[in-house]
Amino acid sequence: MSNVDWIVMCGFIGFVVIYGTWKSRNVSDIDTYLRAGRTSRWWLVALSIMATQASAITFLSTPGQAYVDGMRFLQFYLGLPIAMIILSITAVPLYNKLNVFTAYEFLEKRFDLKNRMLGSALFLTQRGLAAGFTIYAPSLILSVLLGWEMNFTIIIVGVMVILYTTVGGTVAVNKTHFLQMIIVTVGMFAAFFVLMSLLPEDVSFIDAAYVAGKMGKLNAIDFTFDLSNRYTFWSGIIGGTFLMLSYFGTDQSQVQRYLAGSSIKQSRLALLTNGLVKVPMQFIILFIGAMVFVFFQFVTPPLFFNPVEEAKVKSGVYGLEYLEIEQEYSELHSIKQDELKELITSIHSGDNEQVNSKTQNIVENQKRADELKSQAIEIIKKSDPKADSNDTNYIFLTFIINFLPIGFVGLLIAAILSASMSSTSAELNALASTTVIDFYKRLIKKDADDKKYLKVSKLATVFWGIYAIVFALFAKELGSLVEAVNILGSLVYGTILGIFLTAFYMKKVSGTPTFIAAVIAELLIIYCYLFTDIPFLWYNVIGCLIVVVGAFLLSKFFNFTTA
Amino acid sequence: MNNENKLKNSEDSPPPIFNSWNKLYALVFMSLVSMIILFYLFTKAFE
Repeated sequence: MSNVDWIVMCGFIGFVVIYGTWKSRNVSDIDTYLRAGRTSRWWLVALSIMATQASAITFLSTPGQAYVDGMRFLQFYLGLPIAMIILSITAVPLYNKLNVFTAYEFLEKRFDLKNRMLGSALFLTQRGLAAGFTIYAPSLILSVLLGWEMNFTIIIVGVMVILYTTVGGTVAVNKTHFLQMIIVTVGMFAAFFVLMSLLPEDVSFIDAAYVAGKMGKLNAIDFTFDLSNRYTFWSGIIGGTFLMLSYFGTDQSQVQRYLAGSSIKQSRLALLTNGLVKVPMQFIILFIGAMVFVFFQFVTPPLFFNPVEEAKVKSGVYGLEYLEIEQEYSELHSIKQDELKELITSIHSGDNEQVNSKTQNIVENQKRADELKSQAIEIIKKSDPKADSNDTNYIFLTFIINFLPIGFVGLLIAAILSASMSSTSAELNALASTTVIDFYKRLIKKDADDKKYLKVSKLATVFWGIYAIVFALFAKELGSLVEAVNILGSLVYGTILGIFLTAFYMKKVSGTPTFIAAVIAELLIIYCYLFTDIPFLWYNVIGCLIVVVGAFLLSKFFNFTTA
Repeated sequence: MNNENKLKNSEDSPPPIFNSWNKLYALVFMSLVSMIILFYLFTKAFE
C-alpha cells in the first residue's frame, strides 16, 4: 500500500474516532448514552440501522460470495421490506408507548421475569459471538496488508474498538454512522467504476454482464422450491421475513437504533427507508462481486486467494504438487480467456449456435478450474490441517489491494474498517444496554443513580469487547464470515421471534407455557443444526412456529395461570 | 432514567408523503414486488 493510501486510511480512521469522541463529550446520563436521548431524526436513524447491519463483513464477504456462488444470496434479503412494514405497524408503537430501553423489558411487562431473562440471555450469547465476527473482518484486512499474525491483529483492532465504543456511546455511534455510510457508498461506487474501467477495451458493460450470466453468476432469483437449496425465492421470502422480523424487532443492536428516534413517525420512516434501500444496495454489492469474477476471467486470478496460506503450502513438502496444479490452472485460464473473447464476438454477431457452443466449452473449463481449485485446497489441508481452507473473504480484498489506483485503496479500506468499527460499537453498546438494563438494574441494583449506571454500562462495554475478541480468535475456523453470522443468528432468532409474536398476538397465553415452548424450540433447533441438512434460513420458521404453536397447545391443555 | 416527558408520539401523526401510513406501506411492498420481477427478468436476460 502506498504512502498516500496510508495517509488516507489513517486520516479517515483518526477523524472518525475524534469526531465520535467530540460528539459524545457531553454524555453524562444513561438515557443519552443508551438511546441518544430519543432525539434522532428518521434519516439519521435509517443510516444507523443500515450501518449497523452492513458492517465490514458485508463489504468483504458478500462480493466474494457472488464470485463463488453467484448472486443468489440476494434472495436472503427479500423478506426485509416485509419485516420493516410489519415492525412499523406493531413493534414501533408498542416499544414507544412502553418507553423501554431494551426489547426484553417488554417481555417482563407482558409475561414474566423468566421470559425476559431468556430473551436477553439468547441475545447476549448470539450477539456477543457475532460481535466477534465483526472484529475479525477488519483484522483479516490488516493481517493480509501488514503481514501480521491474525491473532495479534484481532487483539489490536479489538482493543481499538473497545476504546472507541466505551468513550462514544449511542450518540457517537449514530453520528459516525452517518459519516461512514457516505464514505462506504462513495467507496462502493468508486470500486464499481474502477472495475468497469479495468475490463479489456473490447468488453463492454453489457458484455461483462453476459459473461457473468452465462457462467451462472447472475442467478439473482430462483423460484424453485427446494428445501436442500440454501437460497431460493421461497427461503428468502418466508425464512428471510422471519429472520428479519426477529433481527430488527427483537435484536437489541437494531431495536436500540430506532428507539433513538424522536417519535413513532421518525422511527417508522427510518425502518421503511431501510425497507426501500436495502435490497437494491445488496444487489449492487453482489453485482460488484459478479463483475470481479468477470474481471478475473481476463486477468489470471491466484489459484487460492489467501496469500498467507498459499505461501505456506508452496514452501512446504507439498509445494511441488501445488505448483503443478497452479501451472495447469493458469494454462486452462488462458484457454478460457480466448474462448470468452470468441463468446463475446458471437454475442455481438447474434450467432446463437456459436454462443451456445462457446458457453458450453467455457462452463466445462470453469468446472475443470473448480476441480483444480478443490485439489489445491486438499493439498493446503494436507499440508496443514489447521489451515484456513476458505478464501471467499479474500477475493474482493485481493482485487482492492492489487488493482485499485492509489488513494482509492486507502479510501476503501478506511471505509471497510470504519464501518466495521461502528458496527462493532453499535453491537457492544447494545450488549452493554441489555446487561445493564435487563440484568444489573433488574436483578442487582434497582435504585442506583445515573452515574452508577453509566459507569457500569462502560464496564459492560469493555467486558463484551473482550468476549468478542476471544470469539474472533476462533472465527477463522468457521468458513465464510457472512454465512457464519447468519447461521449463528438463525440458531436463536426463531425462538426469540416466537416469544415476541406470542407476546404480541396471543393475549390468552401466559409466560410459563411460552417459556417451556421456547426452551423446547431452542433444543430442537440445535438438534436440526447438528443432525439434519435443513438450510439454516428455515430454522427461523421452525423455531418460531414451535414456540407459537407449543405455547398455544400447552396453555390449552394444561392449567397455567393466565398473565 | 425516566424519559416520558420527551415522548412526542402520536399514532395519528401522518407520514410526510401520501398522508397515510397504509399507502406508504403499500409503496414499500410494491417496490419489493417490482424488484423481484426486475431481478427475475435480469436473471433470465443474461442466463
